[in-house]
Order: sequence, then C-alpha cells, then structure tokens
Amino acid sequence: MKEKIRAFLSRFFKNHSLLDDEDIFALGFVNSMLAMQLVQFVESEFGITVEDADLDLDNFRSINAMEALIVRKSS
Amino acid sequence: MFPPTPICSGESPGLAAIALPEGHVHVWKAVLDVPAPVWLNLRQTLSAAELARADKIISDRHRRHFIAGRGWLRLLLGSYLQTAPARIRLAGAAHGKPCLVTANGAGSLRFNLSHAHGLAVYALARTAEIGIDLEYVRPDFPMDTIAGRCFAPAELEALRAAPLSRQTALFYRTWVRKEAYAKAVGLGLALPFRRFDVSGAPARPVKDDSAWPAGEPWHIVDLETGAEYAAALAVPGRGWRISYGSTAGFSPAFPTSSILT
Repeated sequence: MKEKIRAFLSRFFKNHSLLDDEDIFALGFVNSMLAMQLVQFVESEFGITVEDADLDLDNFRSINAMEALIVRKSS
Repeated sequence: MFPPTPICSGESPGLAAIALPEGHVHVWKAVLDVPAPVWLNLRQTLSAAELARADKIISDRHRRHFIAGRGWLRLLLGSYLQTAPARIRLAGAAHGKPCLVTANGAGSLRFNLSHAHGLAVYALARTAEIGIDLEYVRPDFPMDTIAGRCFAPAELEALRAAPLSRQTALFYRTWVRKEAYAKAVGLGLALPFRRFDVSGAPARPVKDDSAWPAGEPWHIVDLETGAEYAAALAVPGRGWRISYGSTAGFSPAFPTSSILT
C-alpha cells in the first residue's frame, strides 16, 4: 500500500525520496487542487469512499496518514 | 485610487502608508520572480518560523517564491499598519487561514492570499473576512474527476454543456470561485464543496446549502489575470468598492477600480 502511495506521490516530488512520515504539504508543490487529486487517487486505487468529514488535510499529510485513512475506511 | 506611491521602489522596498477605509477591498498582485536584491530585502522581513518553513520546501524555485510571497505580504501589511514588516506577527487560524496577531490596529485588518506559478494575489479589508484564490491553468489537470467530486450539480451541468474549447477555463473559473468562498468563510477544504454553488456568480450570490454560513449572502468577484491564471475574490454582502494594485516595477494587469453594488 505504501509503495503505491509513494509511486503516485513521486510525480509531484521528483528527485526526492519521500519518507513515510514526511509532511508532503511542508515540502511545497501540494495545493488544494492537488490535494483533491490525492483524494481521488486513494478512492480509485484502494476502493474506498472519502467522506466530506474525512477531507481533513491531516489525513493526507504523509504516506503513513494516507495509509491509516485507507485502513480505517476499508474496515 | 491607490496606491499613492509604489511600495517598492527599485531595490529598496519602502513603506508608503496606504489607507483602507471601511467598505473597501484592496486586491494586490505581486510577481514572485524578483531581482535578487529585492528578494533579499523581502526575505529579511520573514520570521524565524517562516524561514524554517521555507527551508523544508524541496524545490529551489518554490522556496524562492514562498519567501517572496511572504515578504510581499509583510510589506503590504506593514504599509497598511505602518509597522515594520518584520515586526508583524502572523498566525494560522483554524483550517490554516493566516491572520494577524499583532497590536497597532491589526484587529481591524483582514487579509487573505494565494499564490501559484510565480504569481501571488492578496486581498485586504478592514473588518470583513474575505477570501481570494489564484490558480495556474494546467490543461492536463484531471478536471472531470475533480469536478465530479467537488462541483455542485448546476456547476457540473454548466461545465459539461460548455464547448470543449472553453471547458478548461470554465473549470478553473469555477474552482477559484469556490475556493475563494471556502477561504473567506475560513473552512477551506473542510467546507463540503459540492454543497455550494457559484455558477451564478458574479451576478448572483453564492448559493450554499450547507450549514455554513447564516447571514447575508456572499458574493464572488472574478479577477482578471490573463488566460494563464484564474482568480476570484469572495466578499460578504454587496456594496464593496474594490481597488486593484500591483507591486511596483511590474505592470498592473488588473483594472484599477470597480464597485460591487
């Protein structure tokens, strides 16, 4: 799961090896439109539904945070 | 009309006083690729926390833009507050909307900002919360999926009915209107984007079916930024006098003034 997320994120963070707990919003690049792409990605790739209540940037702040969200929404 | 004098003259940013009466909104545009001496002056105004934040940005270009954008913000705020830019204290409110925490009348100055692809826009008002958003138009952006998730039914219908050649521009126009509104009410992406409709703007107010906000309807002003960008401003109610300026040394691309009646 983490590798799929990392592979998707690599398009935004070229030449940077993203750590699991690294804050992607602090690295630059990611604005609100790209955040919505992340939402779309986790929904389509992992078959979950991200509700409005889940649209908290903290849920998408790192690879670990996204994984936790996916696990939570899959259960 | 404003400003009376440039806030940045050549290589030495200065601090001309700018008056902002009640009922007025000032919208500023700043180019973030600035000559090195200007950039260094802007950088000097940033707080230690802002510089630490800049250090985490991995792209040199984005880091330079962030620093310039914050520097221009501080210079603008300093001009309105007649305070040294470096002494201005900024904080992130709930959902990340930045605000002033300093004294000297700061309580009666509201602002919002947005930047994209080397350009920044700022909106300032005395007491009303306002929101502004700027996006760089990327024709390869996956508009359909994002619109399907975030647009209200009427917005989606308008997008799909538009000629293909105009869909990209309409998508971005709609997005910046929505985000300007979401930022104005201080919720950002936490506001359910599908539940408010900006498709009638600027003639009609934002139609919001979500719980937020009660009170007078919010209005959207489309900002002229050229085809490469889209930008919009959200204001509460009507009757605002909106003026436009550009940091000196660069040609203003906005009309100078308009009244939202």
